[in-house]
Amino acid sequence: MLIDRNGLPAEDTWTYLGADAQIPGDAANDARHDTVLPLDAWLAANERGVAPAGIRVQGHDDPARIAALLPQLELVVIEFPKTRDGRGFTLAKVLREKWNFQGAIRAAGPLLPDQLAMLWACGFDSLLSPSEVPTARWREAALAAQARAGRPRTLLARLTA
Amino acid sequence: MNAGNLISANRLQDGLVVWLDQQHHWVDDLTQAHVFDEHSLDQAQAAAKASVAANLVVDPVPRPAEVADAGPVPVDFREQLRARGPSVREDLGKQASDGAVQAALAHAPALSVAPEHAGIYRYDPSEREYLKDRAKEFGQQVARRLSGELSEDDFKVYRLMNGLYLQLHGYMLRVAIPYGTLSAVQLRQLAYVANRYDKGYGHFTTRQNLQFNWPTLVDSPQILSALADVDLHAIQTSGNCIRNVTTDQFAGAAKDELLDPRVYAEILRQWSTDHPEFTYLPRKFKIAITGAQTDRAAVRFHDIGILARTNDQGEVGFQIYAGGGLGRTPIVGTLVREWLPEADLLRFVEAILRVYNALGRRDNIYKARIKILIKEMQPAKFIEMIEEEFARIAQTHRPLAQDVVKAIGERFVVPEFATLPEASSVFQQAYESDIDFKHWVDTCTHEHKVPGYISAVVSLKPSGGIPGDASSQEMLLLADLADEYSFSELRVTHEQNLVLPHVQRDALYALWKQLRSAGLATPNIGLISDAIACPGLDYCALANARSVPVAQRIALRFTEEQQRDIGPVTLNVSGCINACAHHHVAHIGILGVDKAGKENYQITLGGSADDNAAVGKILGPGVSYEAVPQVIENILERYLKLRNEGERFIDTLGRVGAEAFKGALHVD
Repeated sequence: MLIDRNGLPAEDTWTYLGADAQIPGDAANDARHDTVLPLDAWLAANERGVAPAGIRVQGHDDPARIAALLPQLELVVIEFPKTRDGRGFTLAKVLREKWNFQGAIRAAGPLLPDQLAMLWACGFDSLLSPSEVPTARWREAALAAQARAGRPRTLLARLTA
Repeated sequence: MNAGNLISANRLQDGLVVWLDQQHHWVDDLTQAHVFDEHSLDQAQAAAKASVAANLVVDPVPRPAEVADAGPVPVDFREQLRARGPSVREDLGKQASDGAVQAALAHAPALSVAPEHAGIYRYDPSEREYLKDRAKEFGQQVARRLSGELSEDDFKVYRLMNGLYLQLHGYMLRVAIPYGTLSAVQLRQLAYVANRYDKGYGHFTTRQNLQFNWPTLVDSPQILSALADVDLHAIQTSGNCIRNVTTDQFAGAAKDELLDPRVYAEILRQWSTDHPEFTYLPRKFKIAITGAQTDRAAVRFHDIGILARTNDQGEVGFQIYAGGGLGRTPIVGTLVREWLPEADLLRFVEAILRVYNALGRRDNIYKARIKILIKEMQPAKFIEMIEEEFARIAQTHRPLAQDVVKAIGERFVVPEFATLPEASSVFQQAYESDIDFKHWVDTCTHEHKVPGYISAVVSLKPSGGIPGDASSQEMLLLADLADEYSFSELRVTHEQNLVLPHVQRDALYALWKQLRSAGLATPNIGLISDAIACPGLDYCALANARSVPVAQRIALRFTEEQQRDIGPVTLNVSGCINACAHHHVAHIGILGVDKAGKENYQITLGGSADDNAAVGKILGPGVSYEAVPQVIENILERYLKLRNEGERFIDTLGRVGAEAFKGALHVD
């Protein structure tokens, strides 16, 4: 289930393929454009000149390796292997701030609604909700985050905004 | 040959230890528990599993036990201790003989609070609102756990985010006391919580925090709400995030201070609370900062250690260490930046954390701290990476411009010191005529930067007491004394004592008399009985051995006069390898381990947490629980024989080497 920036379910126009997916070798195929491939499969497809606009990487993948591919990408899905594995937060931040990626960054994995505000703050703009999280909780979290964003909590935040 | 197994668990509601009886009901009295043989064990385990599903208990485990006349006897020592029940202080809190006083203590929360702030640092109203919201949210999560909507595993994340641990005999709530600074109002509220929701006492820790050892799960949201009323909380006192920033207990008062480190500790607190990028690090992350010439905060043993330093141009900035730590791999931190301008502090800390979050190991909990990363990648490479990241972060990103530091510094309540002469005749006269007062002054005071003032240390190490424990009565009395003598301000030290930081020398004698009549004037700061001890196997789920009674029994070996003769020496007792009592950095360190099911204690000598940071070395084979006090006495006897005029224990040890002390391990 795709959750958008406002914490609401949204229609997902992307197709997510596994590592062994076969991409047809037809460069004019529009359907291929909106496909997300895991990093290695994406690189293999790119060798053949048929790389799609979406890639799926792990939080521990080297950002320098991904950086070179960014001009060809519209969507980077960053996967969190565990709730408590926070590498994806830093990866998103580095893609945004160091490599200036302007496309979409989407979170995937066993994330908690409590983490939504942190995801957005690090540069994510959507997430794929694990099936066990009630959809309403994302909306609650997004509303809470929006309310907080309007009022910086600390003096430091206000002084250095 | 074991007779069979008990099924042991913690009750969900209050965390207390329970066992299954023959009818598969949970009982909290071991004599009622049943020892299941191999034929009945499967059924009992199935019943226990059903109880987990019904949200009655947590973590049921079979424990081998034998059956004696008086009932089941667990085989392993830990379960024997669990069976003994909570190690409640009989002489403190509600259990004390002066329990009648307790009735008077059950006052309503201490809300003589200014509408906006209660602490020495004046928080924004939005901060308190945030804390109240968090407490309310946790209340909802607890309700979802009790109703079964949340499993224990799912709930644990939230529980730990709010500082609530499940320990050996119950829940433990760790309250953050940022940079160890407390107001009298806050201390009264802690006394109220101890009394209303606990057994009437709290435990001050080596991280300048306070732990409540007996809250129930059901009460904990209310406790958090009461704490929020005085701008206190338990956020980030657990979990793999940036923990409470610690500092010198004499910050803002010490004579040898370049700057008040609390201002920067507060900046780091605001920056690190709920940090979007650094809340799910590979492991917990501890920062310490000192503004003084002498390191009283053991900064070189923290993940990041920050020292105020002046550069060649006379500008005050910071020297930065990273990757220090204790636990399994005790190591002095690496100097990663000789000098850093004040304005760059957050940028530099951010760079270190970003590199660590991306590259720190997550495959092995024992190798996940930043110290291992630095060791494995080599300090030079690590420094290169953080410098590169530091250079990359825009200069305009969160600079600590002078006006920012000034604005935050101005939020601290600054005592209105009187203009006084340096010397005080009242003080001098008492010092010369009252020998007991002299002994206390010699050990329990610290030079103040303002003429006519002095800092007084309140020892929480009465002879035979539990290091760091304070009852609600004591907390209330100390809050009153802080109001009367120290601008309503107190400090927590990482040695588990309290400080009244700003006392007029003229008033010190009067203060001491009041402390003494309350049993709070033990003149032992820095002496052998001022031991640091972790809660150990009396409380802690991680421990392998007891620490508290070890420290108690050592303290009782020496009279005050003997202690003064021995002079300054640090003694730290940890109940497991995690080293919460920092045993590696004590002159004499004691580490309890489990050796074939029995407590065994390793002795280390020569550690130091100050500017000559060093990790102590193991003296030889471990000794039994019974033998420890004698061994410590042997070590100190040897020192007294070997020392030259004016030599402290650590000096003699440095001169003659540890070899000379090896024989002390032999106890007949």
